[in-house]
Amino acid sequence: MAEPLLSVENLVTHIFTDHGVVKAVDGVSLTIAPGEAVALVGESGSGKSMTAQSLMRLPRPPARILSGSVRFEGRDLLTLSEREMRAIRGGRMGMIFQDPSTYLNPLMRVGDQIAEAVMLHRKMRRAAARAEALEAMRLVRIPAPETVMDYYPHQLSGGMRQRILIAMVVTSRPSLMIADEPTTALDVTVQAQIMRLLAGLRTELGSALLLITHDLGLVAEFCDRVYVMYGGRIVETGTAEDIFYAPRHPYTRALMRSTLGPERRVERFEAIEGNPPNLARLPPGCSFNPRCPERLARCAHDAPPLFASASGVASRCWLAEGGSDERAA
Amino acid sequence: MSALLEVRDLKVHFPVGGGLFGKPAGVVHAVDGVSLTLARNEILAVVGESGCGKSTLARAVLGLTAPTAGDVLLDGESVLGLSDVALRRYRRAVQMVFQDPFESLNPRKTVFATLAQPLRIHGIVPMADLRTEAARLLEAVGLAPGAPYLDRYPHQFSGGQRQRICIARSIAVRPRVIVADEAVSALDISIRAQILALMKTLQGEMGLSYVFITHDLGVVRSLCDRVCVMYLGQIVEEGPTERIFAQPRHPYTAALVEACPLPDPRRARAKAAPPLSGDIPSPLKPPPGCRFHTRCPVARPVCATEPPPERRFAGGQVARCHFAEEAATWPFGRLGAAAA
Repeated sequence: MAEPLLSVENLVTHIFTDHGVVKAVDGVSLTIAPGEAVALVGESGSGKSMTAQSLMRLPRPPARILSGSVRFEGRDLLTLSEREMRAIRGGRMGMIFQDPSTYLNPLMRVGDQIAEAVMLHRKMRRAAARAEALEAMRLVRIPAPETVMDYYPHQLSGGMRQRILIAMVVTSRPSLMIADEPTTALDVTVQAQIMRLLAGLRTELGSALLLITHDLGLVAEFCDRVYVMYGGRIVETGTAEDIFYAPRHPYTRALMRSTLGPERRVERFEAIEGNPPNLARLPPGCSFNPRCPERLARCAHDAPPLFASASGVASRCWLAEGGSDERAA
Repeated sequence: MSALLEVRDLKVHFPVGGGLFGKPAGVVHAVDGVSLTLARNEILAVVGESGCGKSTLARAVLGLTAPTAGDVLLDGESVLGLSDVALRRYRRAVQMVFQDPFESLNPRKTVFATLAQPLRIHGIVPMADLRTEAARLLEAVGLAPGAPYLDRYPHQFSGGQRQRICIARSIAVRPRVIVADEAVSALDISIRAQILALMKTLQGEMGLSYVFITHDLGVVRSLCDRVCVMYLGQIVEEGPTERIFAQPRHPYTAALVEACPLPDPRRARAKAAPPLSGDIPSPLKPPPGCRFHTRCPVARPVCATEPPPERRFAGGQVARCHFAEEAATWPFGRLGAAAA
């Protein structure tokens, strides 16, 4: 395999609260190849957003990155100065968040905000930066960009605001776009447009995409590879086909069974019993063991490592030990 | 067919703007001529995106918003202009479950206080039996044994447990209809299935009917018997769930189906490009003719001028589209199956 664009090793980010230590990211490793679309999937409280933030070195006290490495384009981001890091954020690494309104200045015309993003990373006159902004707005398919440039954020719909944010990201031609639930606040038909836009930009700019989501439908449509997160750890990883058609980890399997898609009618709802774990009080052993229908005696005290199989799927489950998949039926 | 609940040509218009004494600057046609029926023991989906009027419809059905025109009937009896006593009986028969279990429970009330209030107001059980009944309700929604939970506060429960408590509160008065407004949208996938299973169990045990308001077609397909699709205050298509999914007859329904994320990589990647561009127009100034024509990928000149008539199809499927008969030729709306 070619040199990965991003390679994360044993990343640990904990949040130090009055109620104890929240182990939000607890030894996460993942890689993204240039141009690849990778999903980080998990339910609320799985640690997926904190993982994304840690990649960009965003956590602030009480959260702290404790150990691990984040190699991006050949540099370990955890050892860079804050100044160098700022050049990477919004530079080679672009970020798209759930709620675009939070990241836009309500008092500034959107065209100026995009131009400002351009000037932050490149020495350029305002007029030239505005030309770049216009180009970026065309790239993200904003209709009548010359007019929309002079709008304030409140004059735009949620979908358009998200496009503005994406325009700010693409001005720097990032090699990696990190999108954290980019469409959760949007309507389904608008969500489809935004996701197609991101997929199109990936091809046009050759950038990789890390999609953080809870929506398995979006993963199936837009991602090549998948990391499934539970209790602050990656519990399973593989290609989208592996994860959807032959999941091995009981959590992934249960998640697939409880996902309701529009393509078929499910007669019986198969839920996962219990609740997602509290990251401040993770159970000993495998963090999924209290809810696991296939639990073994050792699961309650012995945390399994990630077992790789011949096909390339890796599963953090004792049942996957030895690499053979005798339960595939 | 005897309908349990019927909505007849309902309109809810809101004047907007104009300040304290000025004339209103415009009128939002939030619900604009909606008719629907809910049969006994049926789960009816009302589907649409933000601004389509589905939540306003729910509020009008519950008697929380006064309609501008039209009628709501329970067992064939109009509920508008009812006496206070009759209105109370109606409110007992039709209950509500909201989207956000964090905001719909009073944080300063114990679970017992939350459940005892409707029991007391409607005189469901003798005062002496309130605790026993409250505990029984919790057990009915899967929080068993119920008694130890009674003296806890909402913050001591998870999101899924809170939604169970909301459901316990809504079934406390032994209603016949539950209007659920995005009741599982805020829940994680694994919890969502638990709550849907519970709602289906209660439907069987208590003979409940549901109006299930949602934007999630995945949930609709597995939970609901019939579907109404709303766009800009009107129902554009309705019919039995399986017929709607087999062949949507309105381009908006077809577009919604196409846009719904498909958790199956091979089929998902065979999907057509999203057929809709742009956003939903403002309900302040709905487009003339067919309201959907400004975004419709298969619109023709007539759509911009003539409001479409109702076209009826086998199995009770109805679509308000000039070209509903041509639905099979549309290049979208069949879950990527066409391209596969």
